[in-house]
Amino acid sequence: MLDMESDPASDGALPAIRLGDPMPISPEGGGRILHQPPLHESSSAKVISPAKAGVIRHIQMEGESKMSKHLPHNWKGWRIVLGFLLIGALVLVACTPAATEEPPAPPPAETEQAPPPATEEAMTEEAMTEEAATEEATTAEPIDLGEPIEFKPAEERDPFPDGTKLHILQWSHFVPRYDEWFDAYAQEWGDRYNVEVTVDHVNIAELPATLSAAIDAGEGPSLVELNIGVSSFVEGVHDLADVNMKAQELFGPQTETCTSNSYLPANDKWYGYCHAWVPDPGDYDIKLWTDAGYPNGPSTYAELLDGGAKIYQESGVPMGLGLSPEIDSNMAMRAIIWSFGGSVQDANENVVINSPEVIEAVQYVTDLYQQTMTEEVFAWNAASNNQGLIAEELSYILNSISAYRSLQKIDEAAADNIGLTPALKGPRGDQHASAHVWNVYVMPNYVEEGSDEMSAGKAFMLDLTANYDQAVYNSEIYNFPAFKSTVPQLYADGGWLDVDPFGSNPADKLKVLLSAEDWVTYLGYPGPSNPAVAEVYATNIIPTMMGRAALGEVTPEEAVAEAEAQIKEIFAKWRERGLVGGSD
Amino acid sequence: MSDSTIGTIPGQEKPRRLLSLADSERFLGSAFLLPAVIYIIALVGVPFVAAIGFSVSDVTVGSTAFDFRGFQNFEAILKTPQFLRALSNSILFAVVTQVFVIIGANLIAQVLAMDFRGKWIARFFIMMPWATPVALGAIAWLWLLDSKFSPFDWVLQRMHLLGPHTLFGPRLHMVFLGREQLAMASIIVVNVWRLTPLASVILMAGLTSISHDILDQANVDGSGFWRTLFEIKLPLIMPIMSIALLFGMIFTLSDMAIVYVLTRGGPVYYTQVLPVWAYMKGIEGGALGEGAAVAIFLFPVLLAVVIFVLRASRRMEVT
Amino acid sequence: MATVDINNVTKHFDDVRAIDGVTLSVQEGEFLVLLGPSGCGKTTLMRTIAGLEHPTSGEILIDGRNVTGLPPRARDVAMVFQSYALYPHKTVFNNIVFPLKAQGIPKEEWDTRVREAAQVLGLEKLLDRRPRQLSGGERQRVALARAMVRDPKVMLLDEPLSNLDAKLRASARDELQTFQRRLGTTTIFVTHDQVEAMGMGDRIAVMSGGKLRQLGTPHEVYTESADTFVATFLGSPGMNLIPRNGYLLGFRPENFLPREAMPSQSQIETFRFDVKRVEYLGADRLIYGIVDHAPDDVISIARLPSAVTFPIEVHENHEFAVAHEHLRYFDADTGLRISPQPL
Repeated sequence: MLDMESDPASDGALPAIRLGDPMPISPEGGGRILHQPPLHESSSAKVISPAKAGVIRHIQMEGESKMSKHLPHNWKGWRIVLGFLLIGALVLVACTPAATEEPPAPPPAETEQAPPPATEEAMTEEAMTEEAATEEATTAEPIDLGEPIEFKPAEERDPFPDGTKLHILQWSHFVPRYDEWFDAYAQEWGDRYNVEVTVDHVNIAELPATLSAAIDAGEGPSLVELNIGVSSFVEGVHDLADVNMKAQELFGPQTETCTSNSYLPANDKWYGYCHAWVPDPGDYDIKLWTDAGYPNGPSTYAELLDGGAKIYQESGVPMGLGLSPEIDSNMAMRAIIWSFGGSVQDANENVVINSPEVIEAVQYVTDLYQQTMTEEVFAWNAASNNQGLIAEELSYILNSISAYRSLQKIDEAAADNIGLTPALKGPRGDQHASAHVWNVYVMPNYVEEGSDEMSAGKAFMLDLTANYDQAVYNSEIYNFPAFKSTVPQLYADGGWLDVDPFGSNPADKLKVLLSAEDWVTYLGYPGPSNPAVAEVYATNIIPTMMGRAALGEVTPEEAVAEAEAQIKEIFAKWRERGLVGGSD
Repeated sequence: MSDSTIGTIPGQEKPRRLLSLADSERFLGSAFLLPAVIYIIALVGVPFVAAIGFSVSDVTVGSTAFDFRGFQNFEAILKTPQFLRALSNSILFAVVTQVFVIIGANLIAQVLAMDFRGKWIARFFIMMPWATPVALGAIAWLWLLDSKFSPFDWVLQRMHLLGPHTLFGPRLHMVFLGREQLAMASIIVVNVWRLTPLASVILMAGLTSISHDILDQANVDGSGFWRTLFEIKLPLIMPIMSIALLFGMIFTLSDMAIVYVLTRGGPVYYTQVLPVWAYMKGIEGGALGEGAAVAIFLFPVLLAVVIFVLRASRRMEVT
Repeated sequence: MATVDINNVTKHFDDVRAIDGVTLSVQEGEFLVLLGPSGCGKTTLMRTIAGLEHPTSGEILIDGRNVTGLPPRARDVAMVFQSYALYPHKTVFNNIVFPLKAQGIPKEEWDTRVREAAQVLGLEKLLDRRPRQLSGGERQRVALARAMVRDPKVMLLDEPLSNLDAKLRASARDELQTFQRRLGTTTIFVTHDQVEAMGMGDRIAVMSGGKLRQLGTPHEVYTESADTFVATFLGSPGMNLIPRNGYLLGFRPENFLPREAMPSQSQIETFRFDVKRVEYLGADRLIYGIVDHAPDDVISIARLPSAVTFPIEVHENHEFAVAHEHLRYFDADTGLRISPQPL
């Protein structure tokens, strides 16, 4: 999903090369207004106007950035060029100011804002009506399921001194609507608290390079949103323990998958603040799976192999679990390893990949590849499985709901034929799948300790969480909240997952995601998502291990041993730096 | 030279001083060169030295605090099969690409150097791959080589070369980027596509700089097309061709866009190349030190190649 | 050895008529000079003979064989360019041997033939050198050796002497002519230098504006110039032309002498000559002035050999004369020579 995505090739030009298959994919095909007004009569939310709905008319593949609508190719060029510059001249940036930073922060403010107790009596007028939302979901009052629009501060605070600035750098969300909402929200927040807020959106893949350059240069954005492998930057960012503690105090417990992507036990540091995660359910072709005898889709990996093989033999439509050096393949292969009871590391950060469970998982992938898939899974980029599903040429993929959302906007009937499954169960009943991405803010070290910029950044993060129902709604239920309590509308009986406000048929298609918190994991599971895990991910060692075995070049045992050797090297290196625990 | 001595005429030193400075080739030469020197030091020298520094340290993307690590980074990268494959691929791609580029560029340059109607349009179109941003071109190729929607598949199917009971069958798709040999060939093809225009123009410039008299002379001497090509034209453009070759090699070796966009090193890591591996390891994976080691690994080899080619082309230079 | 026949050849470059209906026959073993100012079409004509240009119309025969459509290599002609066009990357030996290789001459003969040619031109010691290590004269000789080595039917020389300095040029002229006489190869030599043309050619073809103006021996073209172009182009300075009675009266400066210096027995025509300027050139004296009754802008020149010591002063109005036998008559409109007219 991450990058590589759809260029015109995958949109308008796509039907032209399909062999006489009359599938009407075209950007205009999505012109219909797919939004339905919120279903609840009592709702006070605005009905989405046709004009507004038109914004989402384009086929919005996940990963297709906002920018790509205007510059269908260049955005990618940007990233590549940036990456290339970083390789060719690793620290060019060390001696030149980064391109995007703002002037140094103003002199430190007198003190940090003393947070007043977050009690009800301090609530501002606007917040009063939404007070219940921040309470435990046990509230008896009925929940308003319309589009949330009112601002709810996390806590009472005074406006910041004049001249306070906050510069946020984050990725262009896969749902363009989210960026529109976010920019307006950030502006409104800035106006309220006298902070000059700037928000820049770049392609998601550019973030590591950009942040790395900014840290080197010693100046840049105040907050940077990262999605994966965030702990690599642990030495370059502030400890955000206070924000995290405060958030837990205000909003209750944080979902584990988020905590694991913002806290590093090895040096006891909260390097990030994770405000959201994205579930990664299975998407299956209902008709094909019904014909194969699984009308509700597969529920275990055994069924996946059995049904997938039947479908492939009978209809020629292959399965879509990638074996490529890209994010979806990485996630899918890890899901299999975990569900078979294996893992890369244990809870104490010891490398345990060379286990019978992992070997069994590799053997399973080998069988799966040989019985249900074609070589295309080796050629895939992050957009390929989405494209294949939309073209009805894959029977099952593992992805965020974006692939389904894209299809909804192109071809309602085809979207209706897509079902969602929770993580599949392994042979011993284990059921795990990684989140698709995490939204993690980090505050680089160059942001001055005790400055207004720092205080504003922290306040911004807390307030964002307090208003996370808006974020979830505007991401079209793509983002899931790090703090469940902040979005009661999502999990409530008859809530957004039960009745998709963006028009699913049946309306409760997203219901499988109700259980997502139970099976969602994270890179590094069952240990923390440490820098070694991040490097293992970035260097695609797991897809490589699976791929070599699937191609029959090595046995599963050999493939695991190869991977183990490399992973141990990586762990040892980071352990030496004190950023990874364990001893082996 | 003699101008600079004006200022030394006894008794005239003072009033002449400024004038002599402005007339001094030595002073002016240094003054005019200075910006270029600063530019090169800042944009090439410093990053390069820093990259070498990184490669022997344990820096990460989060911290560039420098701890000397000796050659541990190099030892570590040498242990990974991905790096060894990237190294051999980089060299293989560079060399094979250049073989085709030089052949193709010679053919195109021959045609372009001719006089015909619409010549400039032909030149314009032939330059397109080079003028296109490399990532953009690579994305176009990504679609052309798509595993499901490749137009090449469509054409092959129509020609009954792909599908059940055909030459490439029974498969329905070539899956250019998913099969080791095809993926490697695809990378080479895209590199050739991208670099041929530049080489063509360089060679065309070389060809057009050959005196007409020489070519007429060869013609009158009874030389046919091939003899003129191999005995006259190619030897005469050899110096410039070696420069084109050098450029092409370096462009292939340093380019990450094509591989990053097309395969990200896949299938498995069989099309991995050094720049992409350096990026994955150093930036995406956070191990900046090892990334730097990967990135500069070929530097000594490249330096030797550059020196060799430049010296050789100097020797070959004629007239 | 061969003949070359050029039949009514024209060559157009877009609108420009570089060659405009030239017909010309070169005899076996002849040394023919194509003479004309730059842009007159002489080089184009030579290139057309070589096959480097194809005529728009007309035909070219070498040794009676029509070669009009044939490429250069099928014509068996050799050519020496003004720049010599030596192959800079090849040694002298390889330069000379190149036509032999290209013509498919058996390998065994190469060495002997190259050495023969080198010997004729005194290049034996230079065979291993490259062109850039040679002097201008040496380069010219290498080019000649390369041209002669394959014993061509026709040799075409395009201003081969113009890159040499004046002193070298005189000796090279001599060498070249000797060389040609020795080989006896039919040779066409292009030049804009009338001294070269007069001194070397068996015959001279004078060209102008793409047309052949006159073909004849050096003596013929000089003394019996066919038109005013040839008359004024040849000679240094060229022929004086004075309008008179509707035609042009011409006489060469060296025949235009003070009355006193004329042999008394000859039939002469006298002119009052208004002297404007006198130039001393060592061997000669040039007297510039206006002939009586001639328009003010028609300057005539007298060229007095230094043997004629008779003093002539500027602003003097002196009586000059031309022997009748040296007077030429030209049509005022066409410029063509006409029969003697009443004076």
